[in-house]
Amino acid sequence: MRLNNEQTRYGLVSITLHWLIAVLTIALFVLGVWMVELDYYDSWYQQAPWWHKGLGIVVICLLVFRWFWQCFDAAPDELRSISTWQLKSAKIVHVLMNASIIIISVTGYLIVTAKGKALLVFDWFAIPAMVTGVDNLEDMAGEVHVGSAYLLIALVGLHMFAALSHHFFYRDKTLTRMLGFNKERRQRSRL
Amino acid sequence: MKKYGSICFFLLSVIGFPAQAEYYQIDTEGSHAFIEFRIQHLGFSWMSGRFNTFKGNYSYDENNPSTAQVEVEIDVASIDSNHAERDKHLRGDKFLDADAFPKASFKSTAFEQAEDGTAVLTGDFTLHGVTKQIEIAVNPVGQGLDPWGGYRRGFVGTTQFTIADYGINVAKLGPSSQVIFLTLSIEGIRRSATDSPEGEKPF
Repeated sequence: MRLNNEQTRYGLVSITLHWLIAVLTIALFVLGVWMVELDYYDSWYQQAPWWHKGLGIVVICLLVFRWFWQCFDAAPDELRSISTWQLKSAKIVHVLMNASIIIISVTGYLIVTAKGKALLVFDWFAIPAMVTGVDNLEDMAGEVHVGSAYLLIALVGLHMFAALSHHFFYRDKTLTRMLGFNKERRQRSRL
Repeated sequence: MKKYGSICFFLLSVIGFPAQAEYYQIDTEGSHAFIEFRIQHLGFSWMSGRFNTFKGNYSYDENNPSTAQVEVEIDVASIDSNHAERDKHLRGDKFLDADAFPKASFKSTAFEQAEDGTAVLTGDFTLHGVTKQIEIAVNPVGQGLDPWGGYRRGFVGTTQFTIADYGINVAKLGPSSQVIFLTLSIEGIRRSATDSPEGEKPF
């Protein structure tokens, strides 16, 4: 498999970024929902947020890198069999997923740093606080963080549903080319 | 004439000079008042924090201290333990539930001053929607003219209570963290009944 995208298929970099961000995003959601219910004496009480913060920063870094990558590595051509409204709604969902990841990252950072503490990314480095002195900033940031996380997961569900329906119902290459399968699928186009 | 004079003086001392209750506004504007709390962490150490926003006033009569009255209202969401994530937890519905119960308050019902100047202030303390009577041990700190033309009087009060009494379940914090200790450092600026900012008696 090539590193770069080609006209009909995705390259290794695009595929790796897509699935890495996908898996980490879902993992972060589950981790987040689980960790806020942990008991004070639970051995994960300190460890779970430590992972959540570190992985969260990893995801936003991957996402930013992905935007840069996309600037220089054009996506494969859209599949001709797919209708315009589907292509358009897919675009909208992509933009919204990106936007919610940004919002979740920023608000997550604000919760931690609202009173001047730095955000520790594993034990690699610390991101210093930049916005402080706003009353109850951590609460407002927290509400937005949770809300946009649920929005993101809903969008992920939509995205997955679309991908699976293209695979099993429309039987096109939408999913397989993101999985990196090179073999041409026998297509039964309905259009 | 001397007789009348002494009678006048006597009358004045009853009507005109009677030691009057002085009204004080707690100097939260200049931040010369603090509501600080301490609670044990795991039984290993003390964690302390404070409530940054509150207001209140009191009356005090040196000659008749038992008439003293105190009223304080605390903005629960202003809790500050110097750790944003912890403060978020403390405000949340598992602890103070500041959205549902934004205000805590104290209203005195009695003030008993001993000869040495120390006193016990009794009153109704409302937190988390629950009102209970608490006693605050009060020590006077000092009083007098300040350098800017005002008159100030300050006290320090200490009290403690079991958090669960106010319907907040802190069992999960461990047995050493069930009781909270409060230190109230209060400085009041004397106001006359008319020049109080609200233009009316504080009580």
